[in-house]
Amino acid sequence: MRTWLLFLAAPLVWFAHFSALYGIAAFAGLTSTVAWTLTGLACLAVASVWFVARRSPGDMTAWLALLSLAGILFQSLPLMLMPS
Amino acid sequence: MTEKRSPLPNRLPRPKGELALLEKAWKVPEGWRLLTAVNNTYIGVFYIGAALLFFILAGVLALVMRLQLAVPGNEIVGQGTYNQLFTMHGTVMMFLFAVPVVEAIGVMLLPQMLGARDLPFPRLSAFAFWAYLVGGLFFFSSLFMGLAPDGGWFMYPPLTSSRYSPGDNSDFWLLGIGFIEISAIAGAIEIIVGIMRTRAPGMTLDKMPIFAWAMLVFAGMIVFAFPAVILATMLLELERSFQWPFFIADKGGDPLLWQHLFWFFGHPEVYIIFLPAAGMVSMIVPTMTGVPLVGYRLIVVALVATGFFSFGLWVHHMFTTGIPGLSLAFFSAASMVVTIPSAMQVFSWIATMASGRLRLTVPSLFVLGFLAVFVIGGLTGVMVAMVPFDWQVHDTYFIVAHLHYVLYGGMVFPLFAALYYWAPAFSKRRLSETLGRWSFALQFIGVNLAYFPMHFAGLAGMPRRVYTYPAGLGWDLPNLLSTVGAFIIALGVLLCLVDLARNFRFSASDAVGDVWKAGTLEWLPNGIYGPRSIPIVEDREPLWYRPTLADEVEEGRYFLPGTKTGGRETLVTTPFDAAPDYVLLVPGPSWRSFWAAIFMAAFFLLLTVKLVVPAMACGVLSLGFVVAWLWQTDPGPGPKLAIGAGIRLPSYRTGSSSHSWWAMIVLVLVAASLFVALAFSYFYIWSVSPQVWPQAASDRLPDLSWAATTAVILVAGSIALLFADWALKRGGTGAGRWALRATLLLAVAALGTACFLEFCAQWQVGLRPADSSYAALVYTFTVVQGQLVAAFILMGLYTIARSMTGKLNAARRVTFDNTKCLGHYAVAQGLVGLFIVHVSPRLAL
Repeated sequence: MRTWLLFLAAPLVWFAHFSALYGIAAFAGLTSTVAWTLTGLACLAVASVWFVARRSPGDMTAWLALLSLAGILFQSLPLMLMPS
Repeated sequence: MTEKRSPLPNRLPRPKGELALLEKAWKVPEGWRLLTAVNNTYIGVFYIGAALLFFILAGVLALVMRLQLAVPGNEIVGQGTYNQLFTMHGTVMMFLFAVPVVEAIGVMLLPQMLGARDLPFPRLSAFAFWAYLVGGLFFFSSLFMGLAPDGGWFMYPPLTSSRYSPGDNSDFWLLGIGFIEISAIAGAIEIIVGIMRTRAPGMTLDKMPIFAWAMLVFAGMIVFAFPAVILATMLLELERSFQWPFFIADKGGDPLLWQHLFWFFGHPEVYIIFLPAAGMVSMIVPTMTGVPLVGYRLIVVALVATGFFSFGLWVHHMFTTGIPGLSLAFFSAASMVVTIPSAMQVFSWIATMASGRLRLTVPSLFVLGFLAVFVIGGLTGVMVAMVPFDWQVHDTYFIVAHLHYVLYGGMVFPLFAALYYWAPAFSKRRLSETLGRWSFALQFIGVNLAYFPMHFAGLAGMPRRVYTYPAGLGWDLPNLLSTVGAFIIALGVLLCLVDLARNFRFSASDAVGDVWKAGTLEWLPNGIYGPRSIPIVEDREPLWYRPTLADEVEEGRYFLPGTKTGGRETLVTTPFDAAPDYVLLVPGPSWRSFWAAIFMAAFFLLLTVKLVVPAMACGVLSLGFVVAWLWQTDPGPGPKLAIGAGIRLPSYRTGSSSHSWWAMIVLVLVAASLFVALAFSYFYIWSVSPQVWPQAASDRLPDLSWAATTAVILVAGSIALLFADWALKRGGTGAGRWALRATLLLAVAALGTACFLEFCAQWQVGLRPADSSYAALVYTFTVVQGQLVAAFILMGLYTIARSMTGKLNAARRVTFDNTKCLGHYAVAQGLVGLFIVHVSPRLAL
């Protein structure tokens, strides 16, 4: 179960980041600061997953972390640049 | 592709009569009792046949539409009929063809591919198939009665509300599709548990065939996506039948809620269809090039990432609905992100082809066609992900062109590739290369001729769903070409059908076999029982890695070469390492699952035409057959069984080791997804129409003591379940057994009372569901909780009945474990629901 959780940790962080941004924007109003903070935290979390997984046998978890990182950065870019 | 030798589990010669016993155990009933068959190969072939039937029927509707649009001002069909045609075409293709055919191929192939004898719940597969077939045929027949839905395949309200669509047409869609989705979820549960628990020993996750990975992601996506549309259909049906105003703006509802819920399902649906097709391509390409797949791990990563990312895109279907600029930018960016994992797969396939030598067989041609057409569809997808462009082409034929390029290219071409590729594994004859090449050529030309001009018609402003158009708008030529193209596609499909009729001779035990020299386990020699013995997997392409494997398996040198109990058995392995865990006694043919499906279909369909009493009778009968079906399961522990190599395994497991527990967990995830969709609806409508929410603590909000009492009763229910567990563990004595039954009954009563109390709390403050969207949503929480509690009550009473008949004890407790799991979840959901309904409005005051 631990292996499975680690494998899915990065996309789950992506999902949490997505839901948080969408939820805050839809129901409370999003500012640039909040977007930067949430994205920073999400990147940190995914980077941690990558760090833990990078030496594990088979590199799927590390690759999935990198892909999730790309997803987080790309989708939040407009929010960080255009917060109003 | 190096050969290595390791000791084999069993020695030769095998005992006399071992094979005959195995064949007897897995024998399929003949004559009309064939309806009771549950073997995965039979259900798979029925399922694929039914899905192809719906593909043809929906295709015929498309041809009629194309004839109508061939020239301007045409009057072959009227506007009303045309509305029904495009609604049924889209609905049948998406719900009755695309998803079921993928599940069908999964049911057919996965056991063989994983080295199992069958999926763990074969009767559930049979149930899903019969429910789908009967429900689907009845749904389609609505077209001949003029009762077919006519609001488009995504059924947007207010067009589909009772005010603007007063007949039964929309109800056919809502109840019919809701029911078929239940069948799809049943199939998904089967697939998830099958993949996680019945892989051959040694087939760790990183040795699993890519198709199995794709099916795992596919089934997981169904679990999280389908409940959203099930909830949406439920809300719209409640609005149509009882005037609960979820989508009526006058009463605080919002039609956009439907779009959110529908597309939260609808966009992942595209990937639900595409990912298994990509999985098929990932199986075909290495075989046809003769080299292992380049970037296996990257493809797995891409599949999983696509599965996740696809849930973040739904709003790109709603760019023109007036949502804020911030959301537009967010979802536009998210829509582009998903192209990364898709492109990773495309590059992997190209790299695999480049690293080997591609044999230009019919499956290869369809794969090449898929690559070309899907990439074009993907590129136009990136175009419509850009908001300004989407604003221009939204609801035009450009979108029709895009979605057909993606769906025909991304799903139908791989499906035909798969038909030609895997047919020899299940047929006495292989399909014709000549007819196949013609079929491919015609379909490839037809697809491009039919759909490419639609881009230009769309850019010239032609809206989708118009039944005719005037001449001179620049739409004439593209439409004529599209019609010619559609008929060329039909000819291509017809050739494939002729090929199937001439050459496909289904046989589960006497098939042509590995004509492509493939490397995966489905190409082992198979009998009606699957592989003669269950192999040990040491590589992703076991047949390439160990060329003698097929002979060794066929000789019975591996695990479970016969039947130990005289019945159907397969090996259950641990979910991650695929180590042998226990021997599963697989249920055989049964009328019960068949009749349960038939009566459940009848229940939904009679309800659609408002025949409530017969519908209820059918519902009760269906439940009766389900109970009778389940009664035969949960056999309890038996003696340990020798599977080979000196390994003796139990034939029964409880708790999280049991395959049944896994199924219950997936079912709970389905329920949780539906509940999350409801919570989203509540907060969404609140953000849109705060004026209908309570403005003060005394404004239609029950006193908090109601919620507190209900919460205490719910928790008491959970505690009663814990006591029941304790009593079961200790309960050898008569007193222990009665304590178990009493505490279970207490839990059942507690959950039922809590549900009733919540209803009373809302009713006594004068809140009525038809008053406003707020009231409707509050009561919907009770309805959703009530459904779960009803299921728990049934399971609780069933468990008590098993205890009273001596079928439940400390060792034989899978039924109880499942009931307990559902009960605890129902309590948790009830508590969260109470918080949302009673506490959250107070926090906002």
